[in-house]
Amino acid sequence: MNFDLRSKELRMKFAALFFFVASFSGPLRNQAWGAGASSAQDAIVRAEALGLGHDPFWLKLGHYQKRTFASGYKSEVVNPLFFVDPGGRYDPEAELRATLVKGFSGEVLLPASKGAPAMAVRCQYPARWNWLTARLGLNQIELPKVDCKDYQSYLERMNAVGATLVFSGYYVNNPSSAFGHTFLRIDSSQHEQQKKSVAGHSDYGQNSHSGSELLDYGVGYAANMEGNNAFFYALYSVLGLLPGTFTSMPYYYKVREYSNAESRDLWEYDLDLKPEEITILVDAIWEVGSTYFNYSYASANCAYQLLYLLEIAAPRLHLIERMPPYEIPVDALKAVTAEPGLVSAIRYRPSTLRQLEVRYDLLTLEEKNKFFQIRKEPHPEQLLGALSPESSAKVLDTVLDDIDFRYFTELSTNSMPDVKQRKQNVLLARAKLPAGGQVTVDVEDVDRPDRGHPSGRYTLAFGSQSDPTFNSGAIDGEFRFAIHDIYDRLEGYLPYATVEMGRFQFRWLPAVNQFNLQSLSIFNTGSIAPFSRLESNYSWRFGAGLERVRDRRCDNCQAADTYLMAGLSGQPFHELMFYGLAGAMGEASTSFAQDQWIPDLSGVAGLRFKPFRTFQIDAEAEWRRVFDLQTFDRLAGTAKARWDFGQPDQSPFALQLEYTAEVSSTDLFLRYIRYF
Amino acid sequence: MKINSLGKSILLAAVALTMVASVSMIPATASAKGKKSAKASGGKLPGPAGCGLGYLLLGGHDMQVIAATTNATSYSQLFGITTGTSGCDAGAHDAAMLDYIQSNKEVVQTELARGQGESLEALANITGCKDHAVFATGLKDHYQEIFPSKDPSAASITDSIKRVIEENPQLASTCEVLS
Repeated sequence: MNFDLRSKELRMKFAALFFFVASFSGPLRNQAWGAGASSAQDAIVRAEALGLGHDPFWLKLGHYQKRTFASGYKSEVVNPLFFVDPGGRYDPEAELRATLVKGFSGEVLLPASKGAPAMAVRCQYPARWNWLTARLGLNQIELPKVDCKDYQSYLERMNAVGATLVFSGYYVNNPSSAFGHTFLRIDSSQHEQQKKSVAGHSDYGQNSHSGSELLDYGVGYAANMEGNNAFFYALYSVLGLLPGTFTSMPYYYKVREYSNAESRDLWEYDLDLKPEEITILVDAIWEVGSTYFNYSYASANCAYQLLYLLEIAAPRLHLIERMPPYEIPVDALKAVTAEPGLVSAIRYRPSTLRQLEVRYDLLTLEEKNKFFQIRKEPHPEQLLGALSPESSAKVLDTVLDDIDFRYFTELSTNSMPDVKQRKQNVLLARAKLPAGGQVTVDVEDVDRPDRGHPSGRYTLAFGSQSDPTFNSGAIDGEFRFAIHDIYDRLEGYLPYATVEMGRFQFRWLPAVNQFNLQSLSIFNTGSIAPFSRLESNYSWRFGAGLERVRDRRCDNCQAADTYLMAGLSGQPFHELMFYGLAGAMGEASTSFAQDQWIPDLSGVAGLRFKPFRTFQIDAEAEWRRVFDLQTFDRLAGTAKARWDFGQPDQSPFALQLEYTAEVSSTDLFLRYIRYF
Repeated sequence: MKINSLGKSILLAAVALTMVASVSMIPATASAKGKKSAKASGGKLPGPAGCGLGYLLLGGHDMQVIAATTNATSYSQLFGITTGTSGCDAGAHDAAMLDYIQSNKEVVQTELARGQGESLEALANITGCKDHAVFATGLKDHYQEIFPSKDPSAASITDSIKRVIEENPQLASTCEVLS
């Protein structure tokens, strides 16, 4: 007994030493071992000698992260069924041993559930097993046969030869789309063939769709929640309380959902991955497809998970380290375009709204008038009059886009039969006219989202703050996590839209040596999209945060506020805009002299003059009726002149001169604005 | 103007309510519709083994069930897509066409009347018709036959398209034999 133990120990030590040395001897390292492991126990010994349990690839496949406040590892996968070893979530080495043992035995791993088959380790974890096979020479030995028919059918359906990172842009009147969304498209061989035959003319190839990729699969990661209350969905996902899962569905579902139903543009970034990397990617998706993570709105979101999968597939890529710690989907695009040679083509898929705008712009004045005359008529074909067939086709195509833009969901669910009949009438007329009418927009003609300014921003301002009793120089600093307001560089973002989260503004007054939190915006969203004959947009503003109050209620105290306003905006010339909003506010502070909760009515009127892309003047006046015990009115006005410098995607900066006047006090600042 | 404290509380509560409501309403309306239509169609989920594309099962555990019942905004639910035809030998084109047309009816209808478009090309791929231009114009000429009313069923659209192809020798010669 004693002797046995000793000899086993010795044997293991010897083996360990041998493999340790061998693992450094270049060519052997990534190759199969001559003899191959003959049993699970043998394979485990070899794997431990090679340190495979701590190999970066193994840790990646198990989604292990170094623990923050303890030694060792913890997997980001929450579902215990993901691990072959009961303690596998915290122990990558135990997980590796269990994977080998059950892989060798061929036993079924998971209990069958809801019609899904139970699977052997080698079927459920093809990426793990292929890697272990290569590292340990397992292909030399005969293992019990396992039937991986579901995995095989998955592979056949994916038929993968390429991968594309897809970004669905913003739609201004849908706050849940505020930051966009990313997902992967797995490009199949039959479709890749047609795509390749399209010749390129720009840096990234021509913007063209052959229809074939609609039949590819999209793979997305999202938070899941019972029920459909968007407010709680947002709250829970910010707090990281929701399970995140991967799903896969045909790309055409995604296109219908985003382009047609939600009017969001899609951007497709073709990734140049090697065939063996695609194989690992597809296997890695399979491995995590049946499990769940903790979804976190800010960090462990769709962008992070997809880049993580890409890094598993191609360890040569360094994508996640290019992301800021809070990951916004658009940063995933910046990460892949920053990786040399990774993006081979970029394509743009205009939303229904964008197609409508392009089509409308191509109409002559006569055709435009006809369009407005007939677009809401039940029998528009009878009103075309003496228009030529080509003109009629252009007008009817615009009418069709207009109907689709307004009612796509209603049409699809057949909830508005009269609109459906109207569309049918237009289509019957359209079918008699010449063929054509597909709208294509070249990707080079649009501001790509990855070329927008970086998502973080800080500013530093010098100036003065003065009122009748007080005058001081002031230094003002501001920090914003994300992402864009109407004053920022426009390229790559929705014009007229504001989506801000986490903006902190501090002010130091040297004269009285005061350092204050001047304002804080938890979130601030809004749109001043102009109302036009074509698009009846309304404007709105909605947010919550803290601001510093200096009026009769208190002198320089901190108050929490939340506001909601709606109104209209107009753009008579390209360079000039004006807007007006009215709404309500709630303010609260323990420092208020009379009442600690105060409702306000408020209104703003604004003007924007933007003669160049890099220069603009903005002015806004605000009125508030404050329902304190004694109701009073409060007026304030701001004017800003701003110059932008640099390319938007290469550390741009701006200078801004700003003047703010409240009832009795005035601020004047010169502000330096920098994106990072 | 004076306002008493009760009036003020009501006003404040109204402000707060409007704000919460406005956040939860906008995206929730779309989701609510999705739920309803999924139920209306029997809530049948696309199976992994269908001939059409449908949802694709990832991995051994059927997380798609959770995903499909909870991710209320998913497009397939919005449109109550049903697939799940198992056995993909005979009628593979039919099942794939039916599934595709069911999910893309609005766009296919529009592009069919225009005689051009990407979704129409994808349909040509599924149908096995090699010459997309011939396919598009061939169907356009028979728009009224394929869409005789404002909302024909996906099955009737599929049948009509097959019939139009079969009755049009030039078009049929560019297409794989339809079962």
